[in-house]
Amino acid sequence: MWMILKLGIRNVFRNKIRTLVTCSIMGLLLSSAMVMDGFWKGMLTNMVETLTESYMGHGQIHSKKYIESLESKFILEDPDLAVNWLEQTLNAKKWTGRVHLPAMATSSDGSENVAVIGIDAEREKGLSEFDDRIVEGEYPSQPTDVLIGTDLKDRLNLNINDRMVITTHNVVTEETSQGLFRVKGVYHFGSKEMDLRTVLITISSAQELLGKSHGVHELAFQLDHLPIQKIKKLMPTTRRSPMGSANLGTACSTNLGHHPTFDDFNVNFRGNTFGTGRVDSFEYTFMSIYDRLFEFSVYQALGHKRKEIILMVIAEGIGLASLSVIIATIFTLVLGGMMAVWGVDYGGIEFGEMTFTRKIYYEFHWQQFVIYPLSFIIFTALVSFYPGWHASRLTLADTLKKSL
Amino acid sequence: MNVVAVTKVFGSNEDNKVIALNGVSVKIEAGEFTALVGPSGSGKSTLLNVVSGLDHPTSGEVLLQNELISDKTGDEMSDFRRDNIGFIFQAYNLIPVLTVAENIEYVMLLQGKDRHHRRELVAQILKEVDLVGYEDRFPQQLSGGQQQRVAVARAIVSQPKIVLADEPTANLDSENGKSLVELMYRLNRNHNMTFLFSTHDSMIMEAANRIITMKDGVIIDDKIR
Repeated sequence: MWMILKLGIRNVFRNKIRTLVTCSIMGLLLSSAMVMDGFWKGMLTNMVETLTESYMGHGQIHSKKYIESLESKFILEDPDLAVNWLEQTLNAKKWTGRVHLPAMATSSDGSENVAVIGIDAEREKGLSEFDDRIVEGEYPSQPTDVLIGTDLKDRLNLNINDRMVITTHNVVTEETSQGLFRVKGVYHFGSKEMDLRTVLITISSAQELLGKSHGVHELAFQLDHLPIQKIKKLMPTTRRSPMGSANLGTACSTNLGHHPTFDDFNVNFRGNTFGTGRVDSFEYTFMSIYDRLFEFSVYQALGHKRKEIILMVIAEGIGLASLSVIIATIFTLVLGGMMAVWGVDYGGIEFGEMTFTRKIYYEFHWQQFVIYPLSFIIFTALVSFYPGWHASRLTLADTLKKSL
Repeated sequence: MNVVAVTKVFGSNEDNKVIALNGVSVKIEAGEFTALVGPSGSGKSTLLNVVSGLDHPTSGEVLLQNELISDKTGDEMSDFRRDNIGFIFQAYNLIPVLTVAENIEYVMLLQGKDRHHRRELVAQILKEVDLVGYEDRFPQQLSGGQQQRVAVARAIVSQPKIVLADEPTANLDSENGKSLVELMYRLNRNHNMTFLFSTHDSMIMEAANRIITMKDGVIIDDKIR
């Protein structure tokens, strides 16, 4: 057995240039799968960060009925109760109340369906990134101020200080309610859905349009010193608050519900690279065998059994894969390291209905350097079986003639 | 070795059918130094392939020390070759990734002989083939004559019952060829080892104590000196 392994490994280094070329190609393909994994993990972190830090927060508290029906009439009547719970139980320092109104925004040039969010200007600044995304004008502070996205501005042909009417539904009188606003600022997130459909007004104006003097639909909050990996784990969890459900990252989780697409892409990519890598090894092994058909007959002439010939070729495949793994590891460490330090700028690119607003940083994980290489070596060994079987079935007299 | 009425036919239909061996019967006694001669296509190599179990006869029997080898399966034949037959090929066919010593001990390794015993025999045979000092070289670092001497050492080191050699001197110059023939003759005399060659080489024919001449798949002459 030791001799078979020795032969397999020495044969790998027999044609050094061919081995180097093949192992480099296989190594790069394996590395692309390993890099893809780290990049995918970084992308997921980026998406979670984007969602939690740009708008959603780490979690939200809603009235249970609001979550079930999304009807505007179901508000948290006494947000202070929930705030106390947030501060005492979850130790949350950053939180803000929001009122959500499905509405119609109208200018002299047209109208659009929008989601109006009533915000507490000061608290909202600490939680979301709207204030950082303002490209024109200022943040809303007066009851008639409105902050709109760049796409809505273009669609309704609005400029700073232009008038805009918001029409919505008063949940108390069950009648239409309207308000006249002036464009105070314009923001740009890079997400079409956000920049066209989300409109910010002050919370008092939103409550007035809704017909309520107090109460909010949502209390968004962020927890201090919560590592991103923990946020990912917390995503599906729900805790009971006195007022309703406190969903840790529910919206975030819902948004990342696009993962199946993401996973398919990832799995397909890895599948393709692994598949291509195997074909490469398959071709190499056959090419190598074809070069020395007579040699395998010599092995058999000297007394090797067929299964030993198969093992010999498999050992060669394993040697080839091991060398490819070394190349892949070096390449992944270099490329992944660069991506981990400098990041990849995907700013403005939309994926799974989300827009990346910050750099994606590579994330190293032990799986990339253990599971992937091991699977690669196992697959190569399996793929080498057929060339080995072929070599073991040669007609000795015929192949030995070729050597004469 | 006893070859009884062996026929080997290549091709399956009348158009491409070639009768390489046509009812060949021959008995090789232990310790013989026999040359198989004849023009190209006379059936020499086919006969060597059949008696070594590298190919199966279409009909007839091959027996080595009363053991029928022509009916053995692939793996049975591998075991049989390992323990009973030594090969010397025209193109040497040494394993290029193994050193001289590793090539020589290879068959013994397959036989399961212990390391100490293997090393002892390798050292002994290296002296006999005059290759002491070349143990750690790879075949491509040797001349053709030296490579063929390694092939001879590999063939005889495990004391096979018969050594089969297919044109062993064909790739060598006359000086190396002569030296190789002398080596094999010496081994034959010293160890009473049986050699069967297919050859066109007059030096081998001169050294041989038996010359079997073949033509068109049959033995036309068999001279014992």
